Amino acid sequence: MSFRPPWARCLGVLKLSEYDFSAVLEYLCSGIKNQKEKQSVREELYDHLMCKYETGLAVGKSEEQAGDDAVNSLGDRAKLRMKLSAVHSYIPKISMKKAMNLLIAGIVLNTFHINLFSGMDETVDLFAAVLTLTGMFCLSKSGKEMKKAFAASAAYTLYSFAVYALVPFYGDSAAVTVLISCAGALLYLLYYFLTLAALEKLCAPYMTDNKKLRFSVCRVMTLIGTAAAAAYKLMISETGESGSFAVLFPVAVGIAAKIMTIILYVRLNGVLYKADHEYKIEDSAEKKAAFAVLALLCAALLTVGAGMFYSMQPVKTAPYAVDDTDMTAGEYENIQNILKSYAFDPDLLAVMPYSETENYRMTAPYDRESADTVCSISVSGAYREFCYAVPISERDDEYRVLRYVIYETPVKGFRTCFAPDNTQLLPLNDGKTTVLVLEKDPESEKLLTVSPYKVAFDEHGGVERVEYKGTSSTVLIIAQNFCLKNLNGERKISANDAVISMTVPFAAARRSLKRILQDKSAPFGYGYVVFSF
Amino acid sequence: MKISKELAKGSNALIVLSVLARNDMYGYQIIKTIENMSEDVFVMNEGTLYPILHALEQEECLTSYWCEAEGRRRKYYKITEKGLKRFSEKEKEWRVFSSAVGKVLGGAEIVRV
Repeated sequence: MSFRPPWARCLGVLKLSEYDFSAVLEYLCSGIKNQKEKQSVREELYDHLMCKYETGLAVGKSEEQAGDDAVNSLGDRAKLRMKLSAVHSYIPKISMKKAMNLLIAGIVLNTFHINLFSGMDETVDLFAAVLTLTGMFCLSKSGKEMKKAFAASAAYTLYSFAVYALVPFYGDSAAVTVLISCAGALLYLLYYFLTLAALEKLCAPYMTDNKKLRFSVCRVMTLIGTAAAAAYKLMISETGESGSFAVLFPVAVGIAAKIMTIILYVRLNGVLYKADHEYKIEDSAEKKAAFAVLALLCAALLTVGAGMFYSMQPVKTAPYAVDDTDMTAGEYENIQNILKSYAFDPDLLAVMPYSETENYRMTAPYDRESADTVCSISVSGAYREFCYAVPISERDDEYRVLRYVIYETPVKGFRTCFAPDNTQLLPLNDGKTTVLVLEKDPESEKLLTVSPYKVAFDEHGGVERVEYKGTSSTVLIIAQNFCLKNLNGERKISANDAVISMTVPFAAARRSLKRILQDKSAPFGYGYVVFSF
Repeated sequence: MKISKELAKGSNALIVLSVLARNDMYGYQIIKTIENMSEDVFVMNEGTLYPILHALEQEECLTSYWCEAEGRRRKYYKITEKGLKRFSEKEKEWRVFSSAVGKVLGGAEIVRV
């Protein structure tokens, strides 16, 4: 007689032979994704069913009855399957402590990633957003207040990525930029204040007098930092420029507020942990958290993808005139003269307005991230940018376009940015202005030195004097660097290089400088030049 | 008399920890032990037991090891230090709870009389 348990129909099992528990075991374990755990649970349940079965036989039951009873003793199999798959879920169990740590890690990464991973800004932003959102989602299970905070954090994250994608559409409009920035500031404040309020409520029962958590200080600092940043953007939109203090203040207060927040969260986590707060977050939250974060991540990726799509579109407009850019006619002429002095065809100079270069921001990630830097540049009064094309091979239809932003930083220790693949040195036309030295180790290809120097040339083009200007006194930011194929036709864009920075001992750099300058065989086709206007 | 599921639900983990605090056991053995010790008042089915065991194992309240028995592999559970601590806490909690329930029920009886 064949054994046909009641659940056979729903499993599509028409017939089971005696002692064969494989189908029911397969069903019960089918929700467990980890193969090792699945096999372990399967063996354990098999032993259990066999114990039951053998007990049944020992008390005189028939094989069929014993098998039937063993299987039925499992109770509701669908429920057991669900419970097993929940216990052995792919996603690790999230505890309050882990969720808080995710949140803290997200904030740390988001605050300091410029220095840590320069050139990987989108990736770092996405990663930080995922960490923060995962943490917030898990915490949202702790109460209604935190649910609201999570919703605000999700909205703010989507806003952040949408702004990236939409830059080409509103980049030229100062009013829209200010509006969008203010909306972002409000969203951020909403997210921040809701989170702080929820966490404060959570830890209130465990607060002691000697354990002040300084919620108010964080609130005030964040408010000042955000308001200062918004006011600053409004100010430069109206006046077009501002003093260096105006940009430093919101940046400094903003960073200080984030550091205070991180300290607060770490201490808060400690307070909750020591107070033996219920640290487990309900199991069912895990899958939902994964789905929610995945959905948000997809949305963020879509927005970034849309931005990349636009950035890869060929330039449809003809080369711009100088009037279309921030450059003055005198500056344009100056650059042409510079190009001529290096035997470049000045007609190769292709200028474009800022909004045009915005279309290619995705191809130069370090440029995109440097919003604060761009702000610094724009308020310094020395801000100029331009692009020019130089041949990268002997073929006439292939060019490399270089776009430069020149910035005399008022801040000591400000980073010097450069593209690491060039070892070229191009002295300036009058022999008196700044040059940039980039030197590679010929064996390891490792970049050895980079520093701006003042160089005086003698009448024969030789080095007359090398004057140390200081490694942090001049900053060159190579904001964009991409190839043009056939200047009159479609342009093909390619991303180029990451950014690194360093300072070097003057004596060593001077020796390198002299050697390079004296090396007449050095290639002279393209390179990076600091122009002083 | 059998206890309703709702009533037993909150104490299942406590009962499992209590049994394993005495000896290392495997799943079927745990069920039988609970039945015997409670004189058939607690009949914990497999659908309840195994998720509890696996969850306690993940929380490091239990560890497990495999042995050969009757020609197949058998998984034994052993309570850990963390599990003993958890058991002690839950037991204390349970005693306070049951004593309180007892007092309330006793009071209710007096009112009825």
